[in-house]
Amino acid sequence: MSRIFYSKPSYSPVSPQPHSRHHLIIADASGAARAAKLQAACAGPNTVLLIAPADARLPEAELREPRELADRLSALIAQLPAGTSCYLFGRESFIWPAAIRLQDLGTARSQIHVERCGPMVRDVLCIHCKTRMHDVTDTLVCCDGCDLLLWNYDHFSRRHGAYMGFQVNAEQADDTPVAEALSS
Amino acid sequence: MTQTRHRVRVSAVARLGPSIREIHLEPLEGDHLPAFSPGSHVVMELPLGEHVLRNAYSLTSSPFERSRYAIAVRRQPDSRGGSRWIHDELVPGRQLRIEAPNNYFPIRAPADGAPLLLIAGGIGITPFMSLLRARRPDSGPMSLHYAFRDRVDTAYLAELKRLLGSDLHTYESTAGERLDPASLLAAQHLGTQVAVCGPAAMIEAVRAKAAALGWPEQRVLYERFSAPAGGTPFRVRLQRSGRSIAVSSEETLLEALERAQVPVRSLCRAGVCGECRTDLLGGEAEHQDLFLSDQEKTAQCAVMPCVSRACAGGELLLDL
Repeated sequence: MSRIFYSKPSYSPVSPQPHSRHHLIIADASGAARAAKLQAACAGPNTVLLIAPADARLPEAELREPRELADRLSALIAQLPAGTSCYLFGRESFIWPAAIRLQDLGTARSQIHVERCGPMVRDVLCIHCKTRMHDVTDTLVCCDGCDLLLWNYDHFSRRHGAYMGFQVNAEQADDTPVAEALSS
Repeated sequence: MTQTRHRVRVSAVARLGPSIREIHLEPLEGDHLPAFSPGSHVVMELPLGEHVLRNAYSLTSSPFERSRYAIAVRRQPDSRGGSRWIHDELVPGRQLRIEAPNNYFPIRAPADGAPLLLIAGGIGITPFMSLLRARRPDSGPMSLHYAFRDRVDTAYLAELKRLLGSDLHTYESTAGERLDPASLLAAQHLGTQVAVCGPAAMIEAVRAKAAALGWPEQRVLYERFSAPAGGTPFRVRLQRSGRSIAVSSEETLLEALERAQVPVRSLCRAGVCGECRTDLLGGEAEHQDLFLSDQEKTAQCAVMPCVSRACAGGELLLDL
């Protein structure tokens, strides 16, 4: 596959940033374990925002619904000190839109640290009908909106937190590759 | 690179304090001067006797005002003649040449509604004026911390009070008031952009405190305010042409090269933009710029002739 269109993020383990005056840790259910580990390693004040049900490993976490996240972040930004580091753990469909939201509020990219957690799944956006499929596990997916068989392409939108899916057998309907489980 | 030059006429000279003048410039041709963004400067040609001094001045007028520019100039006691000429010789009606504006200090909030913290020292207030004079009621939160020696000889105080109200904080050093960067920066919230313009020591203090408080580098914008100073005379040798040129105490290395008609590309004349970077083949430079990396400065492999000179008693060999 051509590198030119290769926009799949790569990740390395996130660690507490020195000199930070505050650590803002945000996780979904699949990132809770990593969030708990990072919080334990953080010296100094921190805030944990869990966009998931309560988790015993994060007893002091503030629990929020996904739809509350954007507003909660703007309120937090207005209270936390400028030297805050932000850490995001979870599915790509969660961490990247949250990172974009933080940047839209003025947080610098260099203050935001993301790590993908959980099962190897992707959200896929159908480029033909704009339907979004959640937690796709294979290289092929049938679109919920237009029934086309889509190639789960390594072209990632950080703003949408989703990969681009396009019709795999457009030229010849019976020429269908075999679906494989996503490996990375 | 050569900037487009514009002919302008001095339309007014206003007294902002015993040693500060605001100069208004209007176009000689057409109704409009080039557009610019807050924080921009222009390079103005000052005809001092037989040689022309080219100094950079921040534009203090609103970018929405296109029919004239304003700059403000403090009389510098150790001036190479530029500020003295402006204060003593420049009168309305005088024609001058300026280069189109450039901006190496683009002051803006990183996001809609994100706070902007402005810190000015003395005449370092000038680049902020174009931003503040164009401020609209719906623009995001903004505060100005303005440190100066004494209130009598300080530019724009009354106007700033009108523009900013309680968002203006002043520090008069002769009255014992001190601006403390550490406590100021510690009180700022995530997403804040700080922009500082003033003496080198003030900028260094703000940058160091910000780093210690975990601020990301890109949230600290700075512009050093200093007239391009002269210094100890030295000689420069040019490898390719074999020439040797004397740099007097009254001029910069760039000015000496220009006087000798050695072509060197330049833009900001303040050690910021990197345009005049020249390979250094021999000798030790006293680096004054903000462009070269620390490694490059230590390696003595390049020099910015607009602000840097030879180390005392030395000679430079340039790849020119």
